[in-house]
Amino acid sequence: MVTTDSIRRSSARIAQMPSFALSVLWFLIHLLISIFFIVLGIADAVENYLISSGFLKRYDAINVGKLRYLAIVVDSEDAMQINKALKLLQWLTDIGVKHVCLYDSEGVLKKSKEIILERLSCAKLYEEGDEKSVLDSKTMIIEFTSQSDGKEALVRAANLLLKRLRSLGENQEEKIFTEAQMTEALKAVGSGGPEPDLLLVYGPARCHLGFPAWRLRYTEIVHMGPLDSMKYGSLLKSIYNFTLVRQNYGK
Amino acid sequence: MGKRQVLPFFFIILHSISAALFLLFFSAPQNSLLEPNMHLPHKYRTRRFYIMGRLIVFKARNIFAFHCSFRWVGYALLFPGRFLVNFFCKETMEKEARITEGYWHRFSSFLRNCMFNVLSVGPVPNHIAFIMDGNRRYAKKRNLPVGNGHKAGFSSLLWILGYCYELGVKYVTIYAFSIDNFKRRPSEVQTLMDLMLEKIEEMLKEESIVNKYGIRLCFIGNLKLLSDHVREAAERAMKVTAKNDRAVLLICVAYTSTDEIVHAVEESCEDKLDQSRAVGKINGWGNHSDDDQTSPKDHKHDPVIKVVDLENRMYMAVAPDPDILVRSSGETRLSNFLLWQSSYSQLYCPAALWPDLGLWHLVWAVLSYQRSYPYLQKKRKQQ
Repeated sequence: MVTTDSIRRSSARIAQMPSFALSVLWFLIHLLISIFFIVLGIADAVENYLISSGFLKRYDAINVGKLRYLAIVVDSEDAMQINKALKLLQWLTDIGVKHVCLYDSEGVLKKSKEIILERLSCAKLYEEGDEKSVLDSKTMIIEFTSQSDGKEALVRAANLLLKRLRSLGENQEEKIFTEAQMTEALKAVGSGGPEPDLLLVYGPARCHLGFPAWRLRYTEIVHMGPLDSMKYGSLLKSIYNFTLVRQNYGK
Repeated sequence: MGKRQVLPFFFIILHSISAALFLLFFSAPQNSLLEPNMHLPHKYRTRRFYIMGRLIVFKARNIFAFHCSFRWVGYALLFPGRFLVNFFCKETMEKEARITEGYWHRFSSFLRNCMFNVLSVGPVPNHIAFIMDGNRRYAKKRNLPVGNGHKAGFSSLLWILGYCYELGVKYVTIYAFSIDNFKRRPSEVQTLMDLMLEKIEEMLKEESIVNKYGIRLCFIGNLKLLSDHVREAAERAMKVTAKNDRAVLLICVAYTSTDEIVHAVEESCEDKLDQSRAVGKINGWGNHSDDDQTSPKDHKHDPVIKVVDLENRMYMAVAPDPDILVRSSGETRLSNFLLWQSSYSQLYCPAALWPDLGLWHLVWAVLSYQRSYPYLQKKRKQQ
């Protein structure tokens, strides 16, 4: 015999079925996408092998001179594995990149900067006048940044401008709030590095994780995957693709 | 038999009448029935009817083929009489085309609804930002003037907005015009400004997308750099739509992120100065003139700017940070757009040009956002 209770339960189950069916569909779609990314990963691995072993000729002679300043964003948990970071920097020295900015939001790499500079034979820490100095072919300048060089640096620069405004008083003629003044104020508070041409993101998501906003204006952002699965071939490929890009700067 | 099946018969009959009229009045004299032929011998009279019969069969086949293929333009060029009748019937033919289109439209909306229901099982983004790049390249590819590329971009924008609001995205930001774009040729800038003015007027009409989805318009950027007409139209649009609350469209005109940050710094400095002046008045310190020597201890208690002060003074303070930032045409840079707000936004750069961007790109963007959602949420909380 069918009771009202069981009828109510079964009708509730029937009402839940569409949402259950939708959830199953959703999981299926995401499963298919994950399988697609696995297949893509295999294809990438094959391409990396070909690039590293020199089969693809176009990656042999890359015009690295066009890449004046490279920035790398690393996920903070991955950055704890300093060996990987060192390996990456070693690859960059081999390729011939002159200027590198390492960023991670927690500041893990900043804390271990002495270790990194010690282990890398031909690397030097970034100082203010370094953009204009002439370097020999082997040295690489490394800058370490973290979240305190992002929004917090802009706030410190703002407070500097506020102090200037207060000291000038009511009747100032000079324009304090222009972009040039802001850049100068940022340099004064210690976060005035040059703008990177290319930004490589080593993390699970394609996101720049708070890289200093003032420097990110015309930077090409490329997602490389997690730091664990970094490959020399994909690094070479992204630098090569950067050399092909032509920017209009809004015109 | 429904309406759909009756119509073809209706204009087949009309078409036959037109063919008959053509035969009677417009065809060559030897085929016209009105032409007196009584002076001809009998055999030629029968031959004439034979030719007429052949012509009628030929025309019947034509009528059938015509309605299967709608190739009336060629006929219009050759047969003016038929053209007149077909012009009269065109409305019914268009109506039939609209009915079929209506069925297809309803079916595709149903499918789209199903797909959005499936997507809504996972986290749906609250705010999506678009950089509408590639209009000029689109026009160049099709050998059109640049203005047509921007017009195509606008119609593509309306489609994308419709899809976003149907999916449940509350805030959509678009990068319409950058301060860097003022460097372009003056004629192009003028075309863009005229297009913007025209489209603002269009959006404020009754049956536009603004009223369909209850959209509030916000114009973000340094509006002082725009010409007076455009600025007034923008301010009027913001006022008219201020009451709508179901969705928000933020249009960035004369905007760059660095300009926004500088503006926010300036406003925050003014706020802090006002705050210190107010505190000074309460404590009875009186107004200081420029040359007065203020004692050092006064400045220790002066309010300083914090991150929240800057964020409250940004142009984009009306909306939360974007969840997805889409840039069309395959370029991977931000071009001075939302640099402060996109710290934890998923970036997506499809290779399609902006007028070619469609539903599937949006679906893929949302799916990849859902994949990286746990990681980005964790990072946002750690901040």
